[in-house]
Amino acid sequence: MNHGHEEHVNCRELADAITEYIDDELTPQDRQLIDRHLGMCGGCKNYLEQMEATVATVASLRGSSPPPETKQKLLGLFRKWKNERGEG
Amino acid sequence: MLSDPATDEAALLAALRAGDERAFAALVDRYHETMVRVAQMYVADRPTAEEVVQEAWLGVLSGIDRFEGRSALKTWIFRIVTNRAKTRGKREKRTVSFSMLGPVDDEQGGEDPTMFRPEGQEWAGAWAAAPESWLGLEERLLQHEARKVAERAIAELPERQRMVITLRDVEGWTSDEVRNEMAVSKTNQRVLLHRARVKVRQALDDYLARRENGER
Repeated sequence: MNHGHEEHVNCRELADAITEYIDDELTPQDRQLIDRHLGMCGGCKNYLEQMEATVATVASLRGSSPPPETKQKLLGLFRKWKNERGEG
Repeated sequence: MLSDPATDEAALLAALRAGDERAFAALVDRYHETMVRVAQMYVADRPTAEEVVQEAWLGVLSGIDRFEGRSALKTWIFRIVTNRAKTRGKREKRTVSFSMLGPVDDEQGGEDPTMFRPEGQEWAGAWAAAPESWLGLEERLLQHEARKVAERAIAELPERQRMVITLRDVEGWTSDEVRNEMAVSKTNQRVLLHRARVKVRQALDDYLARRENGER
């Protein structure tokens, strides 16, 4: 954030910095500015919660395994490799 | 079960070298889909990406005895994918897909400026209409329908934003891993991730609002 020595952030600046805040990439000073704003702004508190819930929802998409036929094909390659290796 | 990449990597590697099919299957489950997504950045379509990844798996197997462990197994595997996908992309004369190298500041990003009170007015930069609480809706967000909404929003993102949010937030890669993979600066990565999250949040907010209003 480029606030220099300013002592507060507005809602728009907070929204711009929310990813850095969630990922804990802010300097302690900037983090404190955000925390102070969050302490007195219900809208931004909701916004933070929304962003955190968004990240959690996206994380829940993890874990897609390949389709069974793809996996079978790859396991076939593995067996072939293993056989050739055993002979070699 | 093999679950934590940091602790089970050595065991996985040993099992793979010993020809243990379950070890290979575990790697395939863990990385294949992400490998396809990464390959897709460089080649024309998904079928080509699948081919590239299949070649990459063969590369992994034929190289596994020579792998010295100077990088993480995962990093090594993805380097093989990226190299093969780039070679294939060049052969297809796909002028390597990007955009990946261009500036990120040439497009608007972040929240819609009209969500905030304009400059020159009282309370400039404050919410024009404050965001509402999603509290009590968390459970709904993890249900199938909401996850589909998120998935669709991600699919519609510009390429680099899609890639960053997929690797960071879906796959749980660290910022350094993504930076190496995509060759983007730390700042650019953060900007891309932020823009991506903003758009997915917006899509989820719209979805929840529709649900609250009883629409589908």
